[in-house]
Amino acid sequence: MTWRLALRDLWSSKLRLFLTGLSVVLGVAFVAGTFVLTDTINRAFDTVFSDANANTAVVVQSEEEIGQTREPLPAALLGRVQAVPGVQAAQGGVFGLAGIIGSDGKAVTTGGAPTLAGAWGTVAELNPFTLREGGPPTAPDDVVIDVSTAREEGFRVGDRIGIIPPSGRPEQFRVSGTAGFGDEDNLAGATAVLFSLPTAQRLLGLEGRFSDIRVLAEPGVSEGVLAGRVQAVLPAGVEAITGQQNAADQSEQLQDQLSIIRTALLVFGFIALFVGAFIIFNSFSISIAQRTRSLALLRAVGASPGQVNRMVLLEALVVGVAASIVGIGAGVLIAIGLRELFGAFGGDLPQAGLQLNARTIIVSLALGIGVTLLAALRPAIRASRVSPVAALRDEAPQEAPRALRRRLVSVSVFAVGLAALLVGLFAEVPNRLVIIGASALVLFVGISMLSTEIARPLARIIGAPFARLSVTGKLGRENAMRNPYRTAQTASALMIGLALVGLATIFAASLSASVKDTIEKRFDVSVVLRNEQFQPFSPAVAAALAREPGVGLVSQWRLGQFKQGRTTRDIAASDPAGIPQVWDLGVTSGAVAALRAPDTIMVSDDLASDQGLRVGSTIPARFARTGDTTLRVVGTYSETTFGDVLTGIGTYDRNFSPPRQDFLVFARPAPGATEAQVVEAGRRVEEQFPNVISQTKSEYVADVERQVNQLLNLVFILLGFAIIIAIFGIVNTLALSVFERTREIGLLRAVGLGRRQVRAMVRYESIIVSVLGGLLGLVIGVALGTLVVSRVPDVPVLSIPVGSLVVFLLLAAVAGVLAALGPARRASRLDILKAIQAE
Amino acid sequence: MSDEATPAAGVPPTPDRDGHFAARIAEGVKLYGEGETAVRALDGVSMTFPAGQFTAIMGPSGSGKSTLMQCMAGLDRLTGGHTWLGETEITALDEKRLTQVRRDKVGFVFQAYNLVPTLTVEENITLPLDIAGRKVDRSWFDQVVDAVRMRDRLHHRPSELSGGQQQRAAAARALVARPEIVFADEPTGALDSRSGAELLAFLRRAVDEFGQTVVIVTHDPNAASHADRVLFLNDGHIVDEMEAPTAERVLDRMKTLGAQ
Repeated sequence: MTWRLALRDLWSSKLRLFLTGLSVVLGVAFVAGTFVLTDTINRAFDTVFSDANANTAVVVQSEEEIGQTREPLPAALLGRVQAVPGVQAAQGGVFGLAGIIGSDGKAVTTGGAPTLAGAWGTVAELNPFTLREGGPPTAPDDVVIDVSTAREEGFRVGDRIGIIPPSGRPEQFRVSGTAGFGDEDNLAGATAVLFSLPTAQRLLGLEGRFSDIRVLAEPGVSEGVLAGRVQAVLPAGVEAITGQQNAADQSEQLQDQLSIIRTALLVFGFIALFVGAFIIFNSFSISIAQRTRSLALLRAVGASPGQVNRMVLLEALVVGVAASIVGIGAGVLIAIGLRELFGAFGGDLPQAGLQLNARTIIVSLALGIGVTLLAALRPAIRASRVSPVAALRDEAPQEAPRALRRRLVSVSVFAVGLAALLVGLFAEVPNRLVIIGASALVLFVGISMLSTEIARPLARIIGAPFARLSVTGKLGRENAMRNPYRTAQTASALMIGLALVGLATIFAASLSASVKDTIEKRFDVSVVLRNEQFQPFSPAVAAALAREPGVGLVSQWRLGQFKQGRTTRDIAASDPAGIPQVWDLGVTSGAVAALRAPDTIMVSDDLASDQGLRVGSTIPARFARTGDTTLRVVGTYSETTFGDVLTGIGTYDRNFSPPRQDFLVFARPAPGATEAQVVEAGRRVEEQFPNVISQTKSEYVADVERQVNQLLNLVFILLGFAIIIAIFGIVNTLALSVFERTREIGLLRAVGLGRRQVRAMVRYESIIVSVLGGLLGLVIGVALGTLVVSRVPDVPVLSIPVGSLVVFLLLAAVAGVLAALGPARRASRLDILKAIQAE
Repeated sequence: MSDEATPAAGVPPTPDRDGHFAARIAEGVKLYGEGETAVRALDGVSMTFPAGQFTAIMGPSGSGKSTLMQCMAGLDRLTGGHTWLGETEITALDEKRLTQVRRDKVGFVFQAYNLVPTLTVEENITLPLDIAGRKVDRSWFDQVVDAVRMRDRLHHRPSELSGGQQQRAAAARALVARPEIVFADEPTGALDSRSGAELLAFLRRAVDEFGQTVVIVTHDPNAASHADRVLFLNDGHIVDEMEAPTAERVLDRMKTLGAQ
């Protein structure tokens, strides 16, 4: 009987059911879509890698991998491997990165995917690439390019194209053929150029060496056995792994990168669900308040509090289950949409069937149902406390129990959340991000509870201009103020969304401002040369720039990685003589000049204090090329544009194998020359190297700002889900309120309020609620943003973009107008007679 | 009186003392539902409400008295026939004009739920003027407020008032815009007899002292006895009319209506 009542109540309020469910649907869809998309991509790469390497029995490579690079092998190893019994064929592979000059004369961009380069495998079974057109590269100036690039750039077999090698200058090659990666036209948007072995070795700086050796087994010899035999002939530091293992490793590397995206997306999914929880809570609370009399009647005719409680929870369960199932379906659609979107931006993903794993379904159901039940718990308890006498009372009761206790609880929740957040931000704790995330949730709940206290006065202030404007404005304001609990809860959802928008905005603005501040104050350079996607480029660029007239100092910067124990650290390197001239690094002890000595480093103050380092200390370091080494600290500095570890170019070149590439080059005018001459020189170098751009400091800053803003826009889009849910929440509350005020609206219509005025009244209420949420959210966002910025050392400058914040507030008002559309229409169409005769 | 006593179609309405009508209905027909199951709530009603008179409409449940009031007040539309408020024929007005007419020419008092709970008594009373964006005539406002004895309650919310006070506030609201006519639908229905009598006494004063036209719908003979004239409605027809009614005479007439 509980079941039947629950279902009947649900069905009798289909609109509420729909709007409440929608908030769960969107959150679940986000989570499910993320899982489906990333699972599908993972599965696709698994297939691609295992197909492409299907015949590779054993792969020989250096054991140590630091920052995804392995030291190349001596070419002589190939003969030894070939001689192992059971080896039918073995092929030395050479790979690295090299760009292609497109038909427009500029480097072909990949949107972040690598620009692969390598030697064409002459043993067909071991070659992951398959020829589609033309022939393999045989002549020194032959190249095979991937089918996608050929198609997009309009390159045909026989065409001459420019290749940008990692070192040296661009060179011309003849397209001898096109190839796909296995059955795919390309590898997730990466470009590929394949040369004959000697050419590849020369271009990639790997003369006399191989990146790896791939082995084809004789029939009947198992991968595992062969790997064992090959391992036996290898020197220390070189490993033989099975082809299967290798495919799994390659796939895993991509999946690791993908898992960052997955985690980021899931975070936004959880935010959406969290916001949805507020809507559910609010919706159930209102519905319980409106049904007080019928619930009391149930109690009067003998239902126990437990039965009433169960009835409400059953309703929630039905909503949760239905919405989660729809959400999973919607998630699959989102995944399909996103995959198409990637494709449209050139990041063709290998095709594979959509992966709707059991895990996805279980997690989505658990989250959707869990959030719904949890949010409905309090309303259910409140429903069970309705006394049978309430059936006889005339007035609908208010939703305001025990003010003092409520206040105490709100303040405690808020305080706990804030304290935990401060601990997460400023104390040394493990799992910092988890603590910050969890405490932010608690904090938001606390603020939302507290906001019921200020909702009424705030609504009065926000609505003051409307109230002065017209009687509908006044009515709308009074409606927003009449139930501060409802108003606060409804606004809370939007508050969370806008708090995160505010936080992201302030962080991004501060980041841009910090970069600008650092570049302007700390760097004394005329031009910066770099790759558009911050990929490294040939040292020939610096050499060409140095030859240009008017150019004085040219400062090259390189990046690498080493391992300190188990931690992988970035290390930046430049000529010690040039460093202090172009960059004020804020030396706090020692001297830059000391970096001329071999195996010396300077460390940031942060790292120094973390590890108790000072001038004269040593740290153990492991490099891919040189193995275990000891680095001596010769100084400390405060400015961390180039990270925590800085070394001289001599130390760098000793510890890293060719091709040694630059990732930034700075230049200053020669004595007597002007800045303009240097800028001109940069332009000319740009023309010679299509993968490099030359920028002045202000152009560089503008570019960084643009990129930060792009990222910010992406965050906005992802937060958009939560904000849309919040807007649905406002629609939901308004619709329920309009329903509740049927008689009142009828009365107003009878005494002369026009339809347009009724709509305006609902609209004013909606705007007040949404601006209230927006205002609170932005205030919290500013507070959180300020806290976070103060915690992040890389962002020393706090910037609060007031203009943007005002725009967000206006957008919140617009959201209020949109949210009011449906309910206002409904209200204005109420039949006056029915309204005044109700009951 | 028998069913045949329905005033004939086209009968010119009787003019009032000054020859003015506050409201008029001619051949008013109101159907609810369609076809076989259609109910004729009003079946060719014609009549006038002269200005400055207090009229009561009486009849048993389902006689069409509320429907008549609602159609004449511009809350509902006739299926056939015509209605006028003052000089304005409202039968064919669009929703927007109709709202304006209600706002400017009609005052309402309903049985219950007359006040907007979020507004103070004063704001409720001036609501029609505020909606219209008209200025409140302070001296008239004071007169009305004093007449309903609500001066010391002006800044209260409706929830702080008794039922009688709420109805008196509603009556003040109905008068404050100086409408052509005040319609009251069972205004005393939810009140105890003392509060009811107070309200009716006020409406009487409004007619006598301010020259207001008042029409009330009621099934209470005592309420009807405050009127100048009582109209009896049955099955959508006006079946009788009584000048200078007393509670006893009205009650007697109602008994015979109920017996039919």
